[in-house]
Amino acid sequence: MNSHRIRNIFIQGPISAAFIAEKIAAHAVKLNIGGHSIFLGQVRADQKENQEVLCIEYTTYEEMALDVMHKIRQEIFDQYELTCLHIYHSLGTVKAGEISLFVFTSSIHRKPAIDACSEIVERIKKELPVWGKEILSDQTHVWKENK
Amino acid sequence: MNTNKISILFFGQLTELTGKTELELSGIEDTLAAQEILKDLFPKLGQTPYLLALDREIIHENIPLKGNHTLALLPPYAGG
Repeated sequence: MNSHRIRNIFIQGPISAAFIAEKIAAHAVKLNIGGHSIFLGQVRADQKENQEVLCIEYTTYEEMALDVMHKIRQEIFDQYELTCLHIYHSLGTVKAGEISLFVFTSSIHRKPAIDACSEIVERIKKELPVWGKEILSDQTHVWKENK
Repeated sequence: MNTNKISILFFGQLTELTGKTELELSGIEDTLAAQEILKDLFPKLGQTPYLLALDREIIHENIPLKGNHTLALLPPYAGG
């Protein structure tokens, strides 16, 4: 499917609950949707080197990340019967407890929305060129690495 | 003679390791030669895992470089 244009998925700073609520509300007019699935990634106050993670500073290789995301979107639309798909990822500083990833899928019946949402999250973690510098309570830092 | 210009981009922890976000190399035959030069310039690169992206596509083998290209060094991802 080539009808999907390349979209920017990046948001500066955390993704607010109000923004997420707005996106949900915007789907009230789409009357063929029967189920939504939402994944929210939250920054965790991990213990590292006897310090606590205060926040993560996210950076990306934007041109490549948008290419990669475009490819993932197309493959997901080919694979699952989705009505809608929205993805947002934070850049810059996101504090522990704040949201850094928002994946929102919708379909006529629940299963494609749930399965697609889960696969997108896995693919983002594995394939999206994004880096996270975890700032610790003593102001030193470590680089996060997805497992 | 090969007079190409190759823009090298560094990301994540590699920006700290090299002290740079980008630099330009010229007259580079292939991606392996670029990696060798970078390892000479920044010996610490040898100890760090990274993927290579040539013009925004991940590559897993040596590719000849004719003309101008962008070569990015991508340390392990941390998105999500």
